[in-house]
Order: sequence, then C-alpha cells, then structure tokens
Amino acid sequence: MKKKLFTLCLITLAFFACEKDDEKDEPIDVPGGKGTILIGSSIPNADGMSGSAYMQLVEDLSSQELTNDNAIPYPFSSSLIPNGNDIFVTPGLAGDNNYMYKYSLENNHLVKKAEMLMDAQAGGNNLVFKGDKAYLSTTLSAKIEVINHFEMTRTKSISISSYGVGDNNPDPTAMVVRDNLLYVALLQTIGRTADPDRPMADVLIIDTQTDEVVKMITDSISSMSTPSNNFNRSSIFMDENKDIYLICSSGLGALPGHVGGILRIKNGETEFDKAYRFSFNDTPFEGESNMANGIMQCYYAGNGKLYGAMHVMAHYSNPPNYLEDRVLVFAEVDIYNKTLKKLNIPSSNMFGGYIGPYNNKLVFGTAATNDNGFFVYDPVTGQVSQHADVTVVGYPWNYIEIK
Amino acid sequence: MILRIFIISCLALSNFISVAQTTLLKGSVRDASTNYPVIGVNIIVEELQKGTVTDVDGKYNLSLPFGEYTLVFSSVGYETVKKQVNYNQEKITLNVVLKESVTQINEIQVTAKSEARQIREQAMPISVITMDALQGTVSDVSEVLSKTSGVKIRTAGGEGSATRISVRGLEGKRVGFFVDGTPLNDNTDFINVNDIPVDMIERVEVYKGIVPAKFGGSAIGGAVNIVLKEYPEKYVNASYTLQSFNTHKVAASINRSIPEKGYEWGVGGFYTYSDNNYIMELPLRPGQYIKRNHDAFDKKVIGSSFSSKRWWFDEFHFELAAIDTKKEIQGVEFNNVQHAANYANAFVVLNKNEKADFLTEGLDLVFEHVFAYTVYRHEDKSIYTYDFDGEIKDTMINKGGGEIGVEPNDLRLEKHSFIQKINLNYVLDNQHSINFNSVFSFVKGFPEDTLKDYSLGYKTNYESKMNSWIAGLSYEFNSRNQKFTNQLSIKYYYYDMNTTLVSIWDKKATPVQLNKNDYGVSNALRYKFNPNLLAKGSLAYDVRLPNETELLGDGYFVAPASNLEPERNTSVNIGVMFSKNNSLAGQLQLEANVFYMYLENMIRYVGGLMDSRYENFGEMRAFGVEGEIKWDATDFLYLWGNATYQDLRDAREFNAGSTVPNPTEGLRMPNKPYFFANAGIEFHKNNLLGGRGQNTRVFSDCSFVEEYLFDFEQNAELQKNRIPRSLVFNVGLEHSLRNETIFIALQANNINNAEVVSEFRRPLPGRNYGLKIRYIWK
Repeated sequence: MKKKLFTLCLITLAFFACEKDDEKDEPIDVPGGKGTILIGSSIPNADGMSGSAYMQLVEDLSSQELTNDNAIPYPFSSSLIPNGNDIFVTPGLAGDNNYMYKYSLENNHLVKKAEMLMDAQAGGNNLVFKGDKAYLSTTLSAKIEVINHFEMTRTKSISISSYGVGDNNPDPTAMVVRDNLLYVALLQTIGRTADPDRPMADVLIIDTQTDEVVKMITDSISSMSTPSNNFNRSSIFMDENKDIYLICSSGLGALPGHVGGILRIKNGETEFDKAYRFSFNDTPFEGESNMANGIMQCYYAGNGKLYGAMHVMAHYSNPPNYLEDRVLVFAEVDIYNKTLKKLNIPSSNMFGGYIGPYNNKLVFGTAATNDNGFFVYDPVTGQVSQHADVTVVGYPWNYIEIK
Repeated sequence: MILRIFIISCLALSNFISVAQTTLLKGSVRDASTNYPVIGVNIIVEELQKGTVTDVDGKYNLSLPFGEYTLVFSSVGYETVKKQVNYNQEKITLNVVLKESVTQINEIQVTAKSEARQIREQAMPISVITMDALQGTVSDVSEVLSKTSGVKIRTAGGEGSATRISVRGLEGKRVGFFVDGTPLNDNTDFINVNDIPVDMIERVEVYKGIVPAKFGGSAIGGAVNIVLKEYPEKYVNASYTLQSFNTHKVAASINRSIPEKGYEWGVGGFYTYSDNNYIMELPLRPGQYIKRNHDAFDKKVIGSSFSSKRWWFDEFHFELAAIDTKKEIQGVEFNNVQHAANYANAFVVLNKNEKADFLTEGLDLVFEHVFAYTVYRHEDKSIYTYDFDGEIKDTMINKGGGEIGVEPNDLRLEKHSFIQKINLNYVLDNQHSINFNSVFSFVKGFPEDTLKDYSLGYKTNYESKMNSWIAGLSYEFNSRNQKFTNQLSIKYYYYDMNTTLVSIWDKKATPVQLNKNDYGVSNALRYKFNPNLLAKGSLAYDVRLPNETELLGDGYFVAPASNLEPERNTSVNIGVMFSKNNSLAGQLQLEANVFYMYLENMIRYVGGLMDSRYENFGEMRAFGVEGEIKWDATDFLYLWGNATYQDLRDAREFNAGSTVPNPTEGLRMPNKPYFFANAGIEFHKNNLLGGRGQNTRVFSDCSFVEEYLFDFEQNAELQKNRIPRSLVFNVGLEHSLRNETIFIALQANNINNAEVVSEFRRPLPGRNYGLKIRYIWK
C-alpha cells in the first residue's frame, strides 16, 4: 500500500511538474503528436513477418496527410488498448517483443509511464480491465495473466492449458467482463488452424473475484467455430442489455462444414443462448454479391448496429495475393434483425479494416485500391468522403478515440 | 559437387622420410610486349612431373628438393619457355617473360587453357582472394571474405550457424555459391561456406553483379566461387585448430600420384566440433546475460579420389565423399531451446572427365556427373519448453510437443540428386573463343514428418520431383594486342516440377505440375591503357527463378504460389585498376568500382492472416562505390584497406495493386548494411628469429560497419530495431618453419570485445582466441 501511495505521489508530482513546464513552454514536435485521437500505422518489412508500427495523436480527423516523422514506434504485431486516459501496448504475437508498455494522455500528449516484462513467446494482444486489475490473454502460452495496471505488476497467472481440445492450449484471445465474470473466447487451434472435425465454439468463464476458472462453455449445435480473433478486441462484446455477442469466423472462412456468424450469451446466463444464431452463410449480403465468411474488425455502435470489416473469401484471387486482394468489405450488421448491408467505403486488403467512433460518427481504416487511410462515415446520413480524410504512411493499423 | 571439398590430396607416406633440404622457388611471369602479369601459366618441373600455375598477379612458388631441374612455362597464346636451373639455395627467385604465339594451341594442356581463361574473365567485376598468404591462418572463409570490398557475410551465431553471403547488398538465394564452378545453393543444409577448410582453398573468386555463364546456377546478385587446390603428386597435410568456446578442428589429407602410370589417388577429411557456448545478452531481455548452452556443432567429412590420365580422357576423375552433421538449435528470442536439433547426412559420388581437342582441334570438353543421396532431419519433439532461468515453462503446449513454433517436428527429408554438367570451349584463334555450358539436374525428394502430421491431423508433405536445365553460351573477343577484351554471354533457364500440394483448409491433396523458363544476357569488357592502368565495364540482365519453397510452400504454413515470376536484375559496373611496381615505393594496387542495379519482381514473403506465401511485389535500385588499396610498402610491410558504400533504395512507385503512392519509395532498404570498411597492416619477414627456412607474419586488421535499421526509416531517433555500429580489431601471429612445412598461428579476434551483430537480434561472440598448428610434407 505504501508503495502504491508512493507511486501515486510520484505520478502526481510528475503531472504537476509537466503541467508547469507546459505552461512555460509548449513543446513543439513532441514525439507522438498532440490530440485525443490516436492513429496507428504499420509498414511491413520485406521478410513479411516483421515490420514497424507507429502511433501518433491528432486533434481531429479533418483532411490531412500524416507521416510518421513524429510518431512513436511500437512493436509490429502489438495492439493498442485504451483504458480511460491510458493506452496499453500489448506484447503482440510476432514474438518480437516481450514487454507491455503503458502510456498516458497528459495535456494531450502521450507520456510513457511504465513497461512490464512478460514471458517469452507468450504472445498476448487482448487486454480487459476490472477495477485495478487487467487481464491479458497470452495466446501462445495458454494463460490469463492478471496484472495490476496501475503498478504494472503481475499478480497472478491463470493456467488454462487443461481446456485445450486436441492440444494443451485453448488459444485464448478476446475477452469481455460482465459483472464479476470474465468471458474468454477460445480459438482452439491445433497448430495454426482450427480442427476441421470440430465445428464448435468455446468460451471460458473466470470469476474475477477469485481469478479461478468457473467453467468452459461450448456451442456444438450451430456449427460455428473459431470465435474472435487476436487483432479484434471487439470480437466479443456486450450490448446495452448486457448480452454478450461472440463473433465466429469459421476457421477464417475456409473450413468445410464450419459456419461464420454470431452467437450470444444472454445477460445473467453462463451458457450460450440456444435461441440466437446469426449465420452469415444463410444471410444475404445487401450490396455485395458474395457471402460473408466472418468479421475481421468491428465496432459496436449501439442499438443493435455492429459495423464490421467483413471477410469475403470470394474476393481472393487464385492463388491469393494478400496485398492486392481487397477481401475486407465494410458493412453494417444488425445483430438483432440479423441483416448485412454493405457500406459505400472502399474495400481493404488484410492490412486495414480498423473501425472506431469519432464524435457521433464512425471511422474506417482501409487499404484500398485508390485510398490508404481513414474515412469518416456518418451512420445517420450514410455520407462519407470520396477519398480518405486522413491518409497515413503505411497501412492504417489502429484507431482510438481517447475520451 | 560437395565432395570436391574433401578431395584433397597430398603426400605420400614414402615422403615422410624426406627431410632433405629444399628450395623455395618464387617468381613471376610477365607478357613480353605489355609487361602485364600472365595468369594461369602452367609451370611443370619435368624431372618430378610436378607443378603449379601462376596466380592473378602472375606470381608462383614451388618447393623443390635441392637438385638440377628443367622448368617448363606454358600458357595458351604464348611460346613455351624452358629453364634449366641448379637449385642449391633455400630461396631462389626466377622471373620469366613469355612471348605471344599464334600456332601453339595444340601444345597446350587442358589445364593450362582452363587457367588461362581467367585472364579474359577479368573483364567482369571480380575480386579474387588468393590463399597463398593465408596457409597457416586460423580464420575461416567467412572472415576472409568479409574483408573484401562489396562483400558481407551475415551470420546468426558461432561455428556452424546459418550464414548468408551478401554481395553489393543482394544476398541469400540471389547470390550463387559454387565450389569449382559447381552450384551448391541447394545443398547449404549439408555444406556451408565456412565448412571448407582454408587449407584446401586455392583462391576465392567473388563475381559482383554478374554471374559467369560458365557457372550453372540461377543467381542475380553475383557469385562466390571457391577454387580448391591442385596438389603436387606427393603431399600430406595435417592441421589442428583450437579456438574459444571449446572449438576443435582437425583436417588431414594424403595425395599420391604415379606420373609414369598416370594414376593419382587421395584421401582426406576433416572434423569440426564446437560448443559455441559464448555469453550473450538476450535481445528481448536487455541486461540479462546467458551462456549459450544448446548450440553445439559437430561435423565430420571424409572423401577419397582417384584419377587417371591414361583412359582416353586427358583426365578421368572419380570421387566419393560422406558428410555427417549435427547442429543443436540455440534459443535466443523465445524459448530456451534445450532439445531441438538438425541433422544432415550426405553421400556423394562424382565423376569428372576432361578431354582436349575433342572431336576437333581446339575444342575442349569437360563433363561431370554427380549423384548425391542426402538425408536432412529436423527434430523438435520435446514435451517441455524452458525459460531462460532453466525452469520448465510449459508441458506439451502443442499436440505432440515441440519447443519451436506451434507444432512439433520429426522431419526426415530424403533426396536423390543427380547433376550432369558439360562444358565445351572452342578456341578459334588467339582472338576468338566460344564457350558452351550446360547444367542439368534432377532431384527427387521424399519428405516425411509423422509427428507433425499427428499434431495437425493430416499429412502435410508429399514426394516431389524436379528437373532443371541451365545453359550458357559465351563469345569472347580479344584484340590482337590483348589490350581489349569483350565477353558476351546468354543464359537460358528451365525447370519443371511435379508434386502434391495439400490445402491447409480442407486438407485435400492435389497433384501439381508446373514449369518455368527464362533467359539472361550479359556483356563485359576491359581495356588496358598501359601496363599499369586498365578499365572495365559490364552490363548484365540476369534472372533468378523462384525456388522450390517459394513456389510450393512448405505444405503447411507457407502456401504455394505457383504464379511467381522470376526476379530480374539489371546491373551496370564501371571500374578502374591501377598497379605500380616501384623499387622505391613497392608494389601498389588501387581499384575502384561504381555500380548501379535495378531489381524487379522481387520475391518477398508476405505474412497473411491465414497463412503466408511468397509474392512478387518489390523493386529496388542500388548505387554503390567500392575502393580498395593494397600496398607492399617494403619487402616486409604490407598495408591494405577497402571501403564500400552501397545505397539500396525502395523503387516501387505505388503500393502493391493500388494507385496509392508507396510510402517507402526512395527510402533505404531495411536490414542491409550500407557502409563498411576494412583495413589491415602486416609485417612479414624471413628468419626474423634467426635460423633458416622460417617466415614470420604479424598482422592486425579492423572492420567497421555503420549502424543500420532493421525497418524502413521513419523516425530514426526513436526506432529501436537496429543493427548497431561495430568496429572490431583482430591481431594474429603466424610463423612457418622448415620452408613452410610447419605452421603455427595464434589469433585474437574482436580484441576490443565489441558488440557485434550481423543478423538482427543474433549476438555474435565477443573477444575470442585461436591456435592452429599445421604440418605439410611434400
């Protein structure tokens, strides 16, 4: 407790010290820029498995061309996770980084606060918060790490190896906290793909008061599999009714007999809702002639409206070209009425697709044929700019509105 | 192919007793009209039927017992010269001048022609490293090559670690690797450039930006050709090297020929072992140092040869060789690997035949067959993974275990390879010659990994068959006064492949057949202004066909990409060479080159969400300058230095498949050194410590590599992924006794204990030491 107070004192002192300095001399070209909107971009290297990513703040999304000249580098495969004024940079999945970093927004600037050494080759791109605790799912080591995100210390490791089906790793990914329960989506891959003979979806439930596993629940009747993904923290989310929705991508759309769609765990329940099954395979995709196979990125905007970058396998060339094939089609997904409607936003390759809120509008990151950057979309009027409002150097990799 | 490495040679047991006094004969051969050094002159001692050839500087040396001999100096295009000399001193210098001839082609032996051809190849941008001065060195080939302008050797660790040769910024598969002209790129699991003992190497040729048509490989960035020694008829060589990190190297060879019967045989081999247990800082855990403890390397090679000069061919040559390698895998970034290892075994049979005046006068034939049976194994089946504190981290996290990646492996890849090479050289006259080269290869692979199949639930690898044919045709012109040389070459590439691919998604296996063909062309010329100054120019358009892995993937994570186009490289080189032999200033050599390259259709690995594959989407341009100076300042002091600046830039105008400007256009290509330099000083003196027949060589050299980024430069001040600047100093002492019969060498590398990295996040050893003892009977 003393340590915590001391830390808080230091933070407070640092805050006032910064404030005083800022009053005297507003820094020019502070690394990371200035504003409350965080933009991430990525540039892959020639080896295809490594690269660099950059984050920077901007004040608004008026038409502008961003460079990375003043951006802060972060690991290529890491995600940026907001919590209030804090931004956490996860260890990532490429194995090129073992640290989790914490930044804070202070005077509209990014200030690095702490870094925390994590296990080697553990991976981890999803982080959720419950009070002073944060839960990091380490996909490669079958653990849920419990972290005090104020002190950036690990308080517990929850091993979930025994819930692996076919191997000893259930591959935990995206999570959501409802009341005192943590719901962890489990990819259940063997090697790098889902088990073709197991078209099922698993969610692990952990009691956040004891940090013990309560149980694993399985949907085995809808043929939906591969719930959530490592780069989409919204692939398991909660609506206004506190119902939890789980996005399944059917082995990324290519496993015969597997279905892409959405499952639900109703408020107050700890089992899948057998009455709810939103199959993309059976749903016409308005404005798009091909079926959607899954959702790569999404944002839930309320009132049953989910905005997603739909993964459409039919848009792959043969053989696939991951740079040139625009396989992510932006859509409005009505999770209550189970409809799909294509939006008038250029489709992206696999290196874009990020979606988030901006005031009362929405932002879509796309690496399209003629545009590379972020489009601002008005969901009420359907209006969108003809070209990207904000262009970036590299692929549009992340977007966060810090409130 | 591989076996050429081991077919060594040397020394008859009967010669063990020959402790008789010997003469060290040295000298040079020059052109009578131009005073240029003549390379590749055949020098035969008639009485002993032994000999040598002159090197790139026209120099030679021979060790002979005291006595009276007749020396024959012969080379294509020159009149043969005989010299009778009575040798009764320890050291004699004999310089010879050769006059041009137009009628003596029939008199010249095949070997003499072959060596003489090197003169004309000088039109190409080439660096030649002769090993004469390094007979006792502790250094390996990488260390020697790394001190050459335009060349970098990128190594991931200690002895036996993966090594990439980089020539003018192009590296790996883009650079051909040859031993005596036989391509070895596809066999690097079995033989590494460093595996070849320096003792067995005559010279190393580095072709920059151009790959000679006489070589059979598909490369675009240049080529490294290691030329092995030709031994005298009686020769025994034995050496032992002890280096830091429990490294031991033993090499031995015996060669014996019976000139009157035309037979020659040899047997040799070498053994290398290292723990590679140097201390390193974990790249992902700054401040934490560990001693590498699972990086042992163990390699055994044995070979034998037999040749006859009486079986219709001028030379019929037959070799057998076997290789056994084990290499543990050191964890560096992720797990502390404790069990995974690679194994490589090879058994090779080679037959090479040479015939001069084949079918018609002036037409020389060399044809060669190689059969190799190879077995490569990759074992990664531990049920535990470990952290760097030595504790068990996880148990069977993957189905079936494994410490690396997300699936276990117990791979056994068995291959049957056959290579057939034909070279026909037709010398029309002193000015014109034509060369045709053909390399056909057939490879059949039988991969099996039952553990991986068990883990993934389906069979991932299938048999494959591949045929390839690479043909080259060259025309060479030399002006009457030999001042001007021009070589025009075209190459044709073809290959086809049959295999079975399995879809990562529906697990269905589908037979696949594909074929590719393409061509390349190059022209190189040289003009000698005067005996001291010459200029070179070359223009090349080369292609590299996609290899098996790029086209077919690995049956699992790397998806097939059968639509890949070949990489195409256009390169231009202009160079000047100046040499001056001055009694006051000593011998001075200066060389400078300027080059430009444009590489299209670069094959790059693209990571996807589902799997990964190779795609054509890169373009790169490169501009560079190299400079080198060598100066024999006095008869005991030698100074040298070189520097390379190579500016490789991304040249794509747009992002792949879009009209969006490429954000990295014009930026320096990441993970490529762009400025490096080497310099050295050497002191050498005979009988420095008194006595007779001794030579002492003391040297010091240093290498500098400027820091470079692992990623494209965006915000260099904050970008952490970088390969640090390094400045490394080495010192050494070599001492030979009894007229270069015994060599003793001591060497200290990286004496300043600098942080050295040549592959990102792969720390190399700090200060280290070596001791070598070598004994030669001849």
